[in-house]
Amino acid sequence: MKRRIIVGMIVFIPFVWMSALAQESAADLTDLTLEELMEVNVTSASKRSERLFETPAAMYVVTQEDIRRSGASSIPELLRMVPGVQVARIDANKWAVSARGFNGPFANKLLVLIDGRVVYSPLFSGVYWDAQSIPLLDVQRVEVIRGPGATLWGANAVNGVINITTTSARDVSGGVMSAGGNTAAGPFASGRYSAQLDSTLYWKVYATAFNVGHTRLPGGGRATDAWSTVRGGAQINWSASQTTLLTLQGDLYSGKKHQRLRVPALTPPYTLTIDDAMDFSGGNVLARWEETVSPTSSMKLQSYFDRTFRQDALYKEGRNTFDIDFQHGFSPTPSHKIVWGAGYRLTWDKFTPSAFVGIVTPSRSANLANAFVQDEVTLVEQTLFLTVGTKFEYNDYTYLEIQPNARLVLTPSRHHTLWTAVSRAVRTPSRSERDVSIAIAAFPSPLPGLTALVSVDGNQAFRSECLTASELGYRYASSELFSADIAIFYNVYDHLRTAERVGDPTLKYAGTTPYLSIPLKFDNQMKGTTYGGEAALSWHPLDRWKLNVGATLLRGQLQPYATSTDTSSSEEMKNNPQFQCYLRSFLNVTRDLEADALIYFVDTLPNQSMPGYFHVDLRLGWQATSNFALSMTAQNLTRAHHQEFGDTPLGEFAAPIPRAFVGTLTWRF
Amino acid sequence: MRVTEHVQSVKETRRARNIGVPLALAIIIAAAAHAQPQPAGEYQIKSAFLFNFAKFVEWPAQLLPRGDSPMIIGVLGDDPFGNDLDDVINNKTVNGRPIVIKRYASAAEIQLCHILFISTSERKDVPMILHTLDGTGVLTVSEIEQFTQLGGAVRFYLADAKVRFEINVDEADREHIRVSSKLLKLATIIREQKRE
Repeated sequence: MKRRIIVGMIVFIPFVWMSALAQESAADLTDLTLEELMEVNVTSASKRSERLFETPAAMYVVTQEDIRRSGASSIPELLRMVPGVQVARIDANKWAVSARGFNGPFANKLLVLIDGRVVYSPLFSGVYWDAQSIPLLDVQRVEVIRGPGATLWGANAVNGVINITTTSARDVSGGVMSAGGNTAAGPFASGRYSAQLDSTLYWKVYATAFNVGHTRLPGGGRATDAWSTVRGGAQINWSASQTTLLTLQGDLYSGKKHQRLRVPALTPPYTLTIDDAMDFSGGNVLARWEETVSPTSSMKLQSYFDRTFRQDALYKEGRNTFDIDFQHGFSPTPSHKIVWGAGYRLTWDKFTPSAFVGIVTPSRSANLANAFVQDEVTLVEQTLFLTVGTKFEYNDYTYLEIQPNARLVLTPSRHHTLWTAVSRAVRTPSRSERDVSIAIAAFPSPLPGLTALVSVDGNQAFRSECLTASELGYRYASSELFSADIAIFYNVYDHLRTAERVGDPTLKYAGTTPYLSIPLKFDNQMKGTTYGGEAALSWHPLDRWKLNVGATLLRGQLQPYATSTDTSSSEEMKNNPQFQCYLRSFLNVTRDLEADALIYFVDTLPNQSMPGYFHVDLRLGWQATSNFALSMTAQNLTRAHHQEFGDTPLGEFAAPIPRAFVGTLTWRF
Repeated sequence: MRVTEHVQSVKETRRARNIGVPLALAIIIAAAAHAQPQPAGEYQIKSAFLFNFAKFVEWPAQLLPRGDSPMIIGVLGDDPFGNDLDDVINNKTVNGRPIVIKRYASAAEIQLCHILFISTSERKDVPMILHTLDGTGVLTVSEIEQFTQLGGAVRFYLADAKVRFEINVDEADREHIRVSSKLLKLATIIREQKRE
């Protein structure tokens, strides 16, 4: 504890001292020529978005400035600064990310989109974060909505939505290149160039590449978690008319990551540790047509095709996804804002099993169709608004699912927003819960010479997990100086996933070797409640100093049905910290020198035997010239190593997260 | 095999980096030798642009009858500038004219104004506001997306942490405002397509 206080003082005293020094008066901008003015960089974060302030949902936006000053190099690392989001790094290339609980390497209650393209995998309803390494210098904003967003956002938006938007070619011009190295990982480089072809046509290209080495272990030796990726893409943005905006974009990537796996074996010692490498690649093309019909009516049509491929010792999966969505917003009368839309998604895959992961149907295509309508009604002019809406979703597994929500927002003055919402969302079955069989453990059976092998098998009757969420939120903003955003929630879940004993053990053969098969089957025999709250405060005490503070509380209990034989799924609640908090400080020491800090605390994860930890990142950014910027970040400063999560249920090893120093040089031209 | 190759490549990159850091520093120091403008707050920069618009735009004579008639810069709706506009423009003159800053809650309050900044809080009412101001010789400025497409004159946007602006030259013509080539050459030019 003493050490923590000392660390805290070491971090804060320089900031207080520097902010006291940082009182020199601003140079007169009107003395600059126009050309010089065009080259002045914007330092302070943009003003709060009106839309965000009045949104009747728990929403947090990570801006470009937040990203640049975080020193983060991946999307999951960025999400650490978002209240209500649980992030645990498993090793150099794996993360567990969830919102409002249910975290794990295969967390399955989150909808993640990149430029409107869904990136959670229908195989397990989770996200392969290793395959989403878009260059962060090209990310415009990351919107995080905690709580169900199913009505507007669609399938899998149960506990939250993460909506990542990259820059529009229209809003960036010229080039930016960024390169550097991380002492714990390796070198990295990214770049983007954009230009205007004529007054209506804009384009951009971007690319990124990095190489992460194996994590060095504290006792010597190394983990098996190297990771490398090359990724590139392009976008064309055309204002076809005053009211029509067309966007065409594509993205390609290829990478390789290393992993150490512990798999069950039929002979002593009954487990086998293998060093394995996974190849992954993919690509997508997306077209979007946005039409402003009138000031109160706009339409959007979007379609994309996406291919992904992954191969390791456990399985090989090739997947194609085609998606088309239409959305129309209009105001039939001044007091109604209606949004309606419909969409269709087809995904088809080819799955190659291994000795450890089997599958019933190697190829399967799945349809997902939806239609939604939502009306925002002004009950009292500028003060009270009611939003009601519902989504009808049709999928091949559980057929029709209805996901309604009702939201009420009160804005008594420009400084206060009070909102409440009740919504229903479902997490439809993933392919693995229906079709896949995974060998999880082997041990000597009571019968001499016979090994018992436990597997978890898919269940053709697996149904959707359901959530009814109640939320209450409050926002306060006094000009630009101080703002607060608080939300509390009470979530009631039913039909949560369990793994049940089915029937008696049977004798099976692996080749000619007999073994005793003990099958478990996915089922829906658990209910549960979670509750908690999140607070995010932003304080701007000086023009050049900003503080962000956030805290997250999460409690809950999962209760298997009386008929359930599953004793471990209800422990999953303890994969989440009951308390986490952060403090971020942004200080402009001088106009061209930034000193930033992130202090982050995560409570214990009892089910993972992980103690709580502090995490301190410090960053110095120097805008050396108007074109060149240099940034030095020290990550995980307080400890040489700390571990954040245990091995994954598939037997993938976790690794400690080392202290690291990152240097980045950015050139804008 | 692959792992060994990988480790080898990581080692090689580390060696390369050992030369890279001094090299990068040398480049930075060389580049820093040129004096460069310092970063500033978004609305400080935008205030300075408004000042320059006042300087590089010519209004019809009836809007500025005397040589010392004040130049009026208005802000309509929720003011995003805070004190920035007043601080930056404080007691400045352009071409001998004092600059006066006015704030309006609604378009109806506007009597005489040369440059009008329309806040994003007025997003929904832009077509109506622009209609009201048609032919009054006001240079309208906003950050609202599609502002110039809707018939506004100037739109600020951010590109790579720098403030950029679009000018709708057709709207400037309609208002009989002459925009200096000094401004035009730095702006993104927007032309309205002929309405059928």
